[in-house]
Amino acid sequence: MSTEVQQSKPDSWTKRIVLTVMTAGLLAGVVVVALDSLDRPAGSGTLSISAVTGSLTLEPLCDESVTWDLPAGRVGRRSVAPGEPGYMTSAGAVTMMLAAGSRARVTSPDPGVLRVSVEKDDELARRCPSGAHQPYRFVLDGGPTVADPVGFNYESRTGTQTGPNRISLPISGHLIIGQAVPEGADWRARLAPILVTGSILRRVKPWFSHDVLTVGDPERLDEGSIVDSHACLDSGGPGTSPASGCSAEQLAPAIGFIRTLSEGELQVQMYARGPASLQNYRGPQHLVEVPLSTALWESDTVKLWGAFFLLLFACLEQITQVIRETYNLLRKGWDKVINRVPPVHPETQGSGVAREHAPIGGSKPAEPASAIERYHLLEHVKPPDRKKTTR
Amino acid sequence: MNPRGARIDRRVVAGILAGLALATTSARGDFRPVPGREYHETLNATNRVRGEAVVAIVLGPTVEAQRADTIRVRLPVSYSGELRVEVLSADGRFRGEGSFTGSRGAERWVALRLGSGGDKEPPADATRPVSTETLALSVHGADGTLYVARWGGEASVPDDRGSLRIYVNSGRADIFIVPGAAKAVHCRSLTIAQPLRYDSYCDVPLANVPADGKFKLIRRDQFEEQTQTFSVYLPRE
Repeated sequence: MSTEVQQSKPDSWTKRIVLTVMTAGLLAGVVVVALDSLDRPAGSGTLSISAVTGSLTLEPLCDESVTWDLPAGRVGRRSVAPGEPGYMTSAGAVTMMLAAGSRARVTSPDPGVLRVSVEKDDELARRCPSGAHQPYRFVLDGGPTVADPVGFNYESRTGTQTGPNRISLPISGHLIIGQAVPEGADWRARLAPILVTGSILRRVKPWFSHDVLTVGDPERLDEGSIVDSHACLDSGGPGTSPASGCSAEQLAPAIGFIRTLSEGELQVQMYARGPASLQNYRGPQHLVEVPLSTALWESDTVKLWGAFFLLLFACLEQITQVIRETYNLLRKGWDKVINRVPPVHPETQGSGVAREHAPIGGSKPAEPASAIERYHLLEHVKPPDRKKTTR
Repeated sequence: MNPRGARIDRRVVAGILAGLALATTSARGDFRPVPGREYHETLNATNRVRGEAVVAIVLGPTVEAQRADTIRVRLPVSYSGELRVEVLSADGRFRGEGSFTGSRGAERWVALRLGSGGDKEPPADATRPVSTETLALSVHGADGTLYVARWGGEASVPDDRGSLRIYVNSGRADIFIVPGAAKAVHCRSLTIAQPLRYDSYCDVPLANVPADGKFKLIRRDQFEEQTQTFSVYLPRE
């Protein structure tokens, strides 16, 4: 008997430990999941990125296309080798259509000059299930151009005789602002089209709200930095393709526009869902995003309810005490009210009782319930002879 | 039978053996790491600014061979002195660097063991981002001459098979290569976002390499063209 008790004790301890560990694990899991969820980008978050830059790279995403009407200029077929005829064509109007699988690099090295280099990227094209048949197309003066397997170069004509000096172009897709300053290679020195200045603003629509708020301080962009709208700069290993970790078909495009500046360079305004990435000159990439927690903390409704529940939990003991005392007070008051009610007259009560318990024919008469009843019963059976006694 | 004769025989045998050993050493060539400048690989290292259009010349690179820790370099006859080996990624984030010293023997392709494992084959570096496009191998001589190298330790390859891959820093422009008097060939641009060390590569079949090894590079930035010449040391011995 005693050994069974001894065995049952360790069993109960084991059960307790197991239960405690399981509960702790469950709680830890819930906390980890909650924190992980809060750290994810908020669906309602937007990054407003404005910059002055020498270059911008655009890669249209799957099922997206960008069409640009460009001023008069010259177009070159990149596959044509130097010295061979057919490289350059001049046109009064140039329309450029870009689709998934193409990459366009826009620069403005001199005032009033816009340059675009378009090339094909097979890897980008492979990621799109539908697959664009022609990643880029040029229309010169209304007629289609011949295709080129490598790509095209475009340069707007200098001098403002035949076209506008400043132009604006819409942009949509995966965007990279700026570039690294390349190492020397014994080529003629030129100004590298790097990012000059800019800033990133974080905006969010808080939970249960229709307003859009600007949160945090603006992120200032250093000269020579590189901004990637989809944080693909560092996704792979060193030297790997930038988009290897970024699934183009699952991304929402960053949108905006570019405008050529009269003094050269490009003014860029774009909006990205994020996370975007920022890489200072030869530094590591760091993410710029609006996490879900920001949308949560910025919500007035959540704050109000949070404060309410916080107050509730903080004052739980006091509130319990107040409720208990109130209950006691009410109970006492109720008891007093009950005790103040006047007692019912014994006679009416007794006769009623007697009538209620009137014997049914043939049955035994009911027993008197109390002393008063017994008294009255006795009186009924033997009524007092007042005359006799008074005599 | 004749103790004196037997002693002579031993001397002859010893001399022959010593001669053979010397001959073998001379035939194999012997390059050893320079103390203090042994080969090592680093990630996210600060790169020194360099000024060269042709960054590396590699014969028939393959991903499998890039994983090995032995490389071979084609050296001129009776080459003696230092060699500087560099393994570099196009974006400059990965770099392996080291120096070797020694002299070339009879073999045209001299083996160099990367790492400090001595004769023992060192394990491949797990962080080396193998890719025939974005990982290059350059071997410079003491005077700065760039020699043709190849990944892996295989003894030799037929002279007219395979092709040379020439890694070029074009400064983000189109690059064409002209081997000798042949037609210009368009080189491929890399698809990485931020190339730093090089951004293009040109494949030239060994059969098309001119006898004097002279090449011309044409850089076309939109509508401007520039030219450079360089030589590849690849004699048919």
